[in-house]
Amino acid sequence: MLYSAPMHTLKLSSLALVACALSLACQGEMLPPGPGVEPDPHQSPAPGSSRLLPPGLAGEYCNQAIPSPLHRLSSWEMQNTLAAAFPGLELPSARLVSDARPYGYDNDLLSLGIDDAFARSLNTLSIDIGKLAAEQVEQLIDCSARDAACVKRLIAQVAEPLLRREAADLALEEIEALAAGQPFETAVRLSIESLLKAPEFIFRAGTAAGEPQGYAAASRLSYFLWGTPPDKQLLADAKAGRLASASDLRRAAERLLADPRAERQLKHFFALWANLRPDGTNPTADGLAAIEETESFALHVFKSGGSLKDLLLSSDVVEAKPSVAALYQRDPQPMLRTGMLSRAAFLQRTSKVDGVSPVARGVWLLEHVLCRELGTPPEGADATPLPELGANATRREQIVAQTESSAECSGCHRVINPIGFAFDNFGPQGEYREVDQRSGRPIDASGKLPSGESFQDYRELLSIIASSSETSRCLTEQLMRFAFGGGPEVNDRCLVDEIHQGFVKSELKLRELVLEIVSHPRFFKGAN
Amino acid sequence: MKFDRRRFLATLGAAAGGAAASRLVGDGWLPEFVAPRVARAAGASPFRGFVLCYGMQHLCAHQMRFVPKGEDREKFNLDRYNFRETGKLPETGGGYVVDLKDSGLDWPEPIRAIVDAPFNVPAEYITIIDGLANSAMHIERDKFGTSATSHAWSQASVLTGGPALNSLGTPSYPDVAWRIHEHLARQQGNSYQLLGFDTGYNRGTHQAENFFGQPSAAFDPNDGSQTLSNRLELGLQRPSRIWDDVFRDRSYPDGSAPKVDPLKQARPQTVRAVIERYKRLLGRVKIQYDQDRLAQQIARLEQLYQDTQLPAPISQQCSKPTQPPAPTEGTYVQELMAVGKMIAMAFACDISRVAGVHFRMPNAGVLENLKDYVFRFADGTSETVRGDVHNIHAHASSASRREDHTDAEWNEAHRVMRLYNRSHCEYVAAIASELHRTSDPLSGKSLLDNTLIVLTAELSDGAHEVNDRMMVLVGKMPGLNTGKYYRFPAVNPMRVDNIIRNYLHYAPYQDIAQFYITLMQAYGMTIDRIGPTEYKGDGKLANRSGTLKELIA
Repeated sequence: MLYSAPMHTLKLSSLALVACALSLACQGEMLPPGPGVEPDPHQSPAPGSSRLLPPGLAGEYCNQAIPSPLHRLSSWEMQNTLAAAFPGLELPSARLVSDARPYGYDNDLLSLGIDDAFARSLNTLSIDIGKLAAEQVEQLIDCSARDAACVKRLIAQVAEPLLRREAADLALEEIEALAAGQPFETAVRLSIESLLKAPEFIFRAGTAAGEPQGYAAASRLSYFLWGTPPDKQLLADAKAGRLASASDLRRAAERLLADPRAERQLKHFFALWANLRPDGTNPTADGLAAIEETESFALHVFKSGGSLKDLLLSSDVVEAKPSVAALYQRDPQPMLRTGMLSRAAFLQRTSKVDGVSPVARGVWLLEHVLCRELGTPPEGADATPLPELGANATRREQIVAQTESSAECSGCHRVINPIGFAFDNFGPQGEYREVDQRSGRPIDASGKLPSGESFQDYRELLSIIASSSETSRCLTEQLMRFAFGGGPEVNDRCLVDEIHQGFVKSELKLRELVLEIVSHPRFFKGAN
Repeated sequence: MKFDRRRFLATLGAAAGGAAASRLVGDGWLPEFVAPRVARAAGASPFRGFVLCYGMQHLCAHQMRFVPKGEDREKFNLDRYNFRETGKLPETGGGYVVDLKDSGLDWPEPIRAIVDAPFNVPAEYITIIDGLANSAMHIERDKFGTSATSHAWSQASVLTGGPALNSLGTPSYPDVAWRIHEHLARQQGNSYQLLGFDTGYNRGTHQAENFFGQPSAAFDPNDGSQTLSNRLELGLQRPSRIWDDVFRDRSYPDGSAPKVDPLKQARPQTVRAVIERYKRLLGRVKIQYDQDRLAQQIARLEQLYQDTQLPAPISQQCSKPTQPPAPTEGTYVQELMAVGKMIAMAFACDISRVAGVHFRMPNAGVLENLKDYVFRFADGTSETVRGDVHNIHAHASSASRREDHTDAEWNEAHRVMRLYNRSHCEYVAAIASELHRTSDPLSGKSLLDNTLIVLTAELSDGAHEVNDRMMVLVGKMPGLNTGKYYRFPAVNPMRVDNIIRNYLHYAPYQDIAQFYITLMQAYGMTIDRIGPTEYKGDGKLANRSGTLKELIA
């Protein structure tokens, strides 16, 4: 497993989870040096690479505008961009290859390249969309005649969202030259094909000298909050210099957050953060209903001005499909579903074919909510059958016997297990239960964290976690990773600090976290 | 905090100028358009024709078998025969191989039609691979019913590309052909067409399907698109129909085509336009790494654009037909030769250097009768068929065993199968003859020297068998020892009625999968195993690896 040190590794929170005292076997590899520690010379930039770095990049650079490498649109962003450019056309779906999610998010700029498969799929898509646009051109533009003027107008119209500039700022001579002298249909097709292979469509890049500098910030903002290219208003703001300050960005972001497009994107973020829709999986109808319910809940918390604590503790009810509603109606008492993590999607996602997996639940929470990395378990750990301890032993006792009896495993599992056992009152489908199926004895969901704090069940555990600054800092990092298309990096400690402080000051309001990020100079200066 | 930008940039810096550049470029743009031009400009011929022919369910291997002169083909028992010491297959340790130019063997009637007048294809172009088993092409029971009969039927379909394929995802002969087609098209810059998709099998149900669940398709070397849709069914069609199928609406980069598609003509110009966009982008990136890789991207696109400007790979010597053959009927031989001539012309003109052809007889479906159908033959004779004998001959269920039929029924079934075989072989002979007669403008040899026609079927000694199958190859290709008769010792105890119990359990017979692998490797593909790798019926993997080493030159 790839990992470098979370920069706050040594900064123990109230949970003191790093007291895990990871054994080497459980750790996977040694942690790299923390902040302030001289880096391992073997990990230093290779000789000659300094030319890649702008001056002054050594050390921390919170407020500097850091140029990023070219950032390819993710497939999600690309599909959304095409939909914005060709409204009214039923575009071919699922044609682009799906993107890797090395850090959980599908917009990671480091992994978004163009390999052969992607190039092929884009090539095919460009031909198909060009053909579709030519066949249904009246769906796109109102032309009195199918002539060169119509083609020119069409090019300008679709280029604006595709290339994320106002048409007047787009030099499209090459594209227009392609169309010149061609029959109408051929002209449309060639133009569209070229636009869809244009690098300004495929990549997000900074602005050129003499160009309105706000265009880059507009793209970063709209892809962050909508997953789409900027709309006309945002482009106009960019051109007029109204995306140049923190207050400008905050104002623009508030407008975008009020738009329905933000709802879809926020759900997209929450699904990625919680890994609710792993790539390559095809959930059942009931599974999909559970995922949608959790996404809706998270969105509800966000839209209602909720906080991180609400995300983890609120028992608000949102609309759910019958299968999920029926599941919750069988709860023995109301208000049992507190926050995202006692809802069906998380509980199902962390269950296996043969039942719940407290270990999976513990690991998930440590990784996604606390940004902990646990290393790779020893080979074959998953395949080892649980020890038989007699018919009276609970499954929890079996797991403890297996995972905490050896030094090799106990370092991690003494942290993982109590957190996972806290959710033992929920079965593999998320159904509430009070009896251990194996032994018939009451479920024991209590536990104690390495920091010494005790809890009786998942609700008390979530209360502890929700109050931890480690949790709010983790969400800060997660949302920053999504906003920036990667990171934060080791050198970004002060950047995270600043945004996290604003988040805390807002009493952990989710909306404020978004606004803190977009109004930070690092977000809108030198953006791509 | 999962990564460090400095380390990342350092890593990219180390890779800059190499692999990193490909992250921007990809290789998926216009390769099929460009590769033939580049190869042509370099004076090389990347083209290898490949024709797939198969006569589903109608080719009886035992009727096609070479036996020592004087032996009764119907009763010949290989187990007791040891042809000659020197002919033993060295790798296999059994069976034998014979050079067909001087074999001392008795040519079976259908194959003899290829080398005899009027087609006169030299024996060195004929290759017989006999005695192959089929163990990798297994069927998962729950996907295709549970009865032995359905398993037998689906085995047959999988081998020959019947309607079962789509639901199985298991390689079959057409699947292999598809892979070869695509490989040649994409990797070697060839064009390809898949022609003649009608399976002719249970046509009432499956007529609309082809093997791949998609319309007949072709690559167009003009732009690499897959927009063409032609079918060529070499049934008893008129030559004019075949002209339509092969040549109609095709476009030629040299401008002499009956119809030129302006989009395809102009598409390479999109490369030019995109290059200019990349140059604009260059002014917007601020990191040296990006500047470097964009510069490399532009250089590659410039090269791509220059390649698009190379002359089209159409041979100047190519004599394309300008009009369809006269619709008047000539002799049967003339009709056959017209078919072969058109395929040869298509190959010579680089329209379809790779093609799949399926022989199809009208009314040849399993459930339909060939009532009063008249087979015509090159020697001017004809024979009438009273009805379809498929079930008598091909199904070894209780109603179809030899002992359940009279001698008259059995003999009639064999007679009809012989007619099928002879008819199919005469088609192959006509195509091969014309390919041999036509000079390949790209290689200087005959087209048949760069073409491999594969004729196969799934009837062995009568039933839908999984053992003792035969492949008939006509033509040559680099990498294969052709011009020989290979008899592998496939003494396979498996019968249709115990397929379920046994079909995973017999090895090490020479397997059809190994023939496929050999073929695909000879065409330059990287593959060493065919068959499902996950299903382990009774704990044994059902896939097969390895090659037929004696076939490899």
